[in-house]
Amino acid sequence: MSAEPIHATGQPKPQVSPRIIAPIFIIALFSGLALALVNSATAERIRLVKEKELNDALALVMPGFDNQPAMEKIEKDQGKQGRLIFYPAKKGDQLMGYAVESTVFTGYSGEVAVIYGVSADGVVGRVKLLRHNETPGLGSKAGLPGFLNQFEKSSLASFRYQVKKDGGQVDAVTGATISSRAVALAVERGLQDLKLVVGN
Amino acid sequence: MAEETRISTAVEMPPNQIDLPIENMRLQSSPYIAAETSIPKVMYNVVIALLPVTLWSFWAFGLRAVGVMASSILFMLAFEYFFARFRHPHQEAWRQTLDGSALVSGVLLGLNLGPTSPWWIMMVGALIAMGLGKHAYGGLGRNPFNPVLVGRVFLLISFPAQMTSWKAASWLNRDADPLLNLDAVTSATPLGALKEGGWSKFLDAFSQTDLWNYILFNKGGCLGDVSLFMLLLGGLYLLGRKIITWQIPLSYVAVVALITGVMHLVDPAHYASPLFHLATGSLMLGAFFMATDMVTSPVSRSGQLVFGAGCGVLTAAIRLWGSFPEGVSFAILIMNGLTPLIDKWTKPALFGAVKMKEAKL
Amino acid sequence: MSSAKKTAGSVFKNGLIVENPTLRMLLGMCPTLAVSTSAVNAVGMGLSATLVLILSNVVISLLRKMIPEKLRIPGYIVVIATFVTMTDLALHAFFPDIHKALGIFIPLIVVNCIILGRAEAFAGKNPVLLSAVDGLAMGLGFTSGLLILGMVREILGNGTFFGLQVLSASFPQVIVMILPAGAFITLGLTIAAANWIESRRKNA
Repeated sequence: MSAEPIHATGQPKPQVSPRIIAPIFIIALFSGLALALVNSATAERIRLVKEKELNDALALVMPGFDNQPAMEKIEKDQGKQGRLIFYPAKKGDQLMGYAVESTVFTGYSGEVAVIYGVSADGVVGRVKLLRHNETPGLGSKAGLPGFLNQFEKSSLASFRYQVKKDGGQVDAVTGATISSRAVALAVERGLQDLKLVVGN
Repeated sequence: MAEETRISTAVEMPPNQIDLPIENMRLQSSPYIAAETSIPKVMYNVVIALLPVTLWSFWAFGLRAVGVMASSILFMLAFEYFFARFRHPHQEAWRQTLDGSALVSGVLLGLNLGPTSPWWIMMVGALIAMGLGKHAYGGLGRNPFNPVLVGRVFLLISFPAQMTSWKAASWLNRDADPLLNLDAVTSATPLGALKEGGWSKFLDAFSQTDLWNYILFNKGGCLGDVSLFMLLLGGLYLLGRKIITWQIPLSYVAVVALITGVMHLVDPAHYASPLFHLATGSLMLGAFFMATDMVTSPVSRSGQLVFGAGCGVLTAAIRLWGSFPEGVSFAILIMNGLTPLIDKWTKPALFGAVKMKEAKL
Repeated sequence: MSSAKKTAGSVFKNGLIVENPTLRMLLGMCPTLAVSTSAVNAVGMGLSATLVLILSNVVISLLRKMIPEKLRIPGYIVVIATFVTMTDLALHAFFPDIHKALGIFIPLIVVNCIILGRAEAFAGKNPVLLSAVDGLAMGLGFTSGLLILGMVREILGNGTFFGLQVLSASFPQVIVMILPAGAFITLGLTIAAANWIESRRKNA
């Protein structure tokens, strides 16, 4: 029996020679440094890009605010039913209304997310389809202005957010009833919930 | 028709050892006795079997159906010749074009399309069916997938709007189609309506109509869906002439009935009755005329039973839980892909061969 | 390719045509199929990969005597991953639209087998300048393959060419072409065409 310690697996202990480790260590060190450098150089820009993306969407559906709606957002996760985010839009101290990001999972291929503006008295402004996986060329047409414009100036009191087939007032996209339904539902759910939140 | 191989002197044998006139020796693989069946004979029998439903669809949908069918056949023949000509001289390409297989493809594609399809739908369908479905693999007999279904699924995915806007059947009493009232612009198919509203809602819409008269003779949808009665007539003709075997249609239909039947018992308000599932969509067209395609289905009888059952499981699953209302095309294509495996598993024992277990004793 | 005489010209031709990664070697199929839905995406992906390929080839060629034989693969991966992450950050900061369209496929350049393949097969054994040329040629070969797929799929599936409407709106869009199935069909036909051209060239 040799005096060498026996490794747990019975194998001789693998040789760890500094001559092998050192180059890899140096490469990793320089990689880390380079990445830190690039990261610090781009972090601020990336933050601005993300912020601009959200603000562009908000400005489209709720023009004219001068606060930072993203800082005051109210998020409500309702599990399988969907997800709601309210961005209060203010001009000065005056509340103009909310931009509502509403997600439902009843699309033809799952998630459908819309963002739209609601004025303080509960009237819908512009609607934009944010995310979806609907069939290109069919369900995706629910993202075109021709379909989305019919929600403009509608409100819970004056409009039934269901497709005509289900007894509502929404003109469904031909051949894409399910996608149309999902968008209508997303708009309606945001409005219903907003009523509870702000009580108007 | 067995393939024939001439021994070439250049490759196998050192020339100076053998002085037989080798050019006259032929190697021929089994079978040595050719049956009377030939490709044209089979194909023209299929056309005869499809004639009743085709003529009935002309009567029900009018001139537009004639146009769809005629252009479908014409494009199919044209592209068959076009692609065959790539690999063969004119005479052989022309023979292949007229062997009846392209004619059957044309009729089947026409029966799988709605009567309002624009002309380019038939053109693209035939192009894909013949180009990608058949000749890309080497022509008739070498295609792993049913060419017509390849064409149809390509169309269905590419042009969903044109492929799913149906016209009600029966130009005689169009107002009688209750599905027209569900959707003012385009009529849904029964399966489409079922997917949207569930079984009880569907029955409500039909409470005023004779459902069975509708299904047997008057259904909206594709040309081939119009009359279940005429389809069955053709299917029975093929069985009677022994062009197709009973294994695939029976196991296909039985498995669909079994699965939809169980689900109907579990929740009668939502899942339709199994009879309805058997009678609607293109199940019968698929079970009798497309799943039984000789090239793309298993050879042995037991393999055909497995094949049909697999089609049944997939069709039922897509109809009940999938996002498409109808799953016959997808089911048959998927099982086409599995056919080589099924053939491998169900290879019959050679005559005189002994099983491994017995051999050990 | 024989190792006897390598000139910048022969290396360049090899990467772009003879061993075109997309159409001849069938390397990097995952991003090829996934992001070739439009010509712009194809160019964005192709040029990002080219950039990473040149940089990693140069650095690995520089370090080729220093990296120990036993640990060369981990060493290559660290170098490649570093450049990919840099590219990802830079795209996000300066080309947010392309970054959004390419999404997960930018970080996945790390596992694009073209890049590790060239590190192992070329840059680890050849001098710096040639490695840079090889990276550029392979990258452009990859880009051109992607671009062919991207253009065909975008025109047929969406009626546009680099985002410009070229087919009138009444022309039916072949939706399957921008779906995954269309990627496979287009790739298969493009490779068939490449093989056909190759066989004609050989016979001529």
